[in-house]
Amino acid sequence: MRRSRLTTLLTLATLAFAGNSLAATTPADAIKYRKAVMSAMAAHTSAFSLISFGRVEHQGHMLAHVDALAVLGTQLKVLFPAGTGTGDTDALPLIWQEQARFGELLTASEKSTADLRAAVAAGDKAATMKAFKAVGDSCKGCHDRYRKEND
Amino acid sequence: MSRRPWLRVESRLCAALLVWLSVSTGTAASAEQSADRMERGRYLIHAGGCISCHTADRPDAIPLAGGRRLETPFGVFYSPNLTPDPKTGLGGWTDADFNAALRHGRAPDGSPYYPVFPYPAYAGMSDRDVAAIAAWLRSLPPVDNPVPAHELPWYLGSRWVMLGWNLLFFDSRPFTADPARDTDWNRGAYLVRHLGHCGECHTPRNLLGARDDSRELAGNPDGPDNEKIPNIRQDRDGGIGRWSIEDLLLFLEMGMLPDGDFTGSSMSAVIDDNTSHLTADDRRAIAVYLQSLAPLDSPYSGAPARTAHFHHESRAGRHGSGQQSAVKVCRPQQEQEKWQECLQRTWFRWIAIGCSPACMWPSSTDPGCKHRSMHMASC
Repeated sequence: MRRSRLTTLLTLATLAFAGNSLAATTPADAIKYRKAVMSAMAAHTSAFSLISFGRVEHQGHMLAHVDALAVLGTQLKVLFPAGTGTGDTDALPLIWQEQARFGELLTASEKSTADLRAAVAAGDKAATMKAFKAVGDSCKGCHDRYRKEND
Repeated sequence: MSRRPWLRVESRLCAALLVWLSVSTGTAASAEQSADRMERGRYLIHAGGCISCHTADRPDAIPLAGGRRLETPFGVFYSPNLTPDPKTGLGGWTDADFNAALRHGRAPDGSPYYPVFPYPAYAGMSDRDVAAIAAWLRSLPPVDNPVPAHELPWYLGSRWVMLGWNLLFFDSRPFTADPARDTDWNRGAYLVRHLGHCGECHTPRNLLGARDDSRELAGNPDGPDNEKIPNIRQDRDGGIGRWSIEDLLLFLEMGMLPDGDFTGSSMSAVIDDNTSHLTADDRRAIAVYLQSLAPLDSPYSGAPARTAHFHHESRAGRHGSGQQSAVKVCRPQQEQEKWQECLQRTWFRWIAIGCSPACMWPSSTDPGCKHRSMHMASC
């Protein structure tokens, strides 16, 4: 009885703490986190391209990078909450004005990354190159419409 | 005597045969030539970057039918319809008309175009390339697409004012290969300077909006659509000096920056419509040419070509920390920077960015002037 009360107390405390920390997420931190994830994706893309274009050998690492890209790619949808369009960000307000279209582009991007993963897993070099270009196009398409560039 | 008619007939037959032969081989040759020329024209339309500007910025826009809105420091332009529609396009244009437009910046009625159309770059194009572009554009299905009139300040209302500008700044000499350089470099120079007209955005402009080729490709703070266009010379920090040739090739092919980011901005249209359609050899030629340009620091600190974390660094770095300063009078170094920035911009922007017109005349470049009157609230 005592033990379960203690457990309940602890659980409540944990929940309260978690709730507090969630409520404390500032738009500035949300933007910082978004940038961190985007940078991580860019780094994996860069590493992946160095291998796939034969500039470094580590063929065995390809799948790790594309896996990371695929996982991080599925997180993008929750990284643009309302209120994070101003401040230290290059995200354009258009994202929040046309949520449906933005979401479609992200879904298409997830799909192209999944295709890339499949091509890499199958060891199909030609398909990998083709799919990588498609992934790049999906990144570029979104940046072109929804990211402020060069001021 | 009696054989003469035969001789005549014979010679006529021979002549006829000769004519027939020459005509038939001629048509075969020209048919082949024209198929070749069409393919070449289609390629050049990409290499010349025609599509990005002459296609409206709508998902359903018909390529090359015009109507793209282009904001520049000199006003808002709408690109014309390049399809051979007689009313709203280039219906009835001859080779001579295309030549006059592309290489001399003149419309068929003799009036000069505004240099928002990059004829100062196209002037270096070869006869063969002009003819191929003309042939291919004429082969398009005509599209009836009237485009809005340009929105320009009163003093630019007539195209004829550009005659004076052309006298001052327009160099219509065709491209000549540099024998001291290899084929790749020369091809790259032709593509970058003329056909691809990279300098129209990447080279800063002087006070009257002419390209300052002494700073070729060193970046342009006043690019189209209010974009700051990066320095693409070989500076290690401000330019693309850290990019390997493979980095450049990958960027031109698919838009990936060396840090794995993908470009958006107007360059993404250039990649989609132009450089991704080029042959690998042509992309390499462009890269070879770009890598041959000596470092030249951009006088303004905005928009370096990106390496890692471009966005954060460039924002913080631009104009130093002085931007937030409450001090109204600039410190010498900031004055110097601001002065350089003002010089790089067209005078239409001076008021907006806080340049002091009193010191903006070319004769006032003496050091005393900028210290005397560059008291700019914005620096």
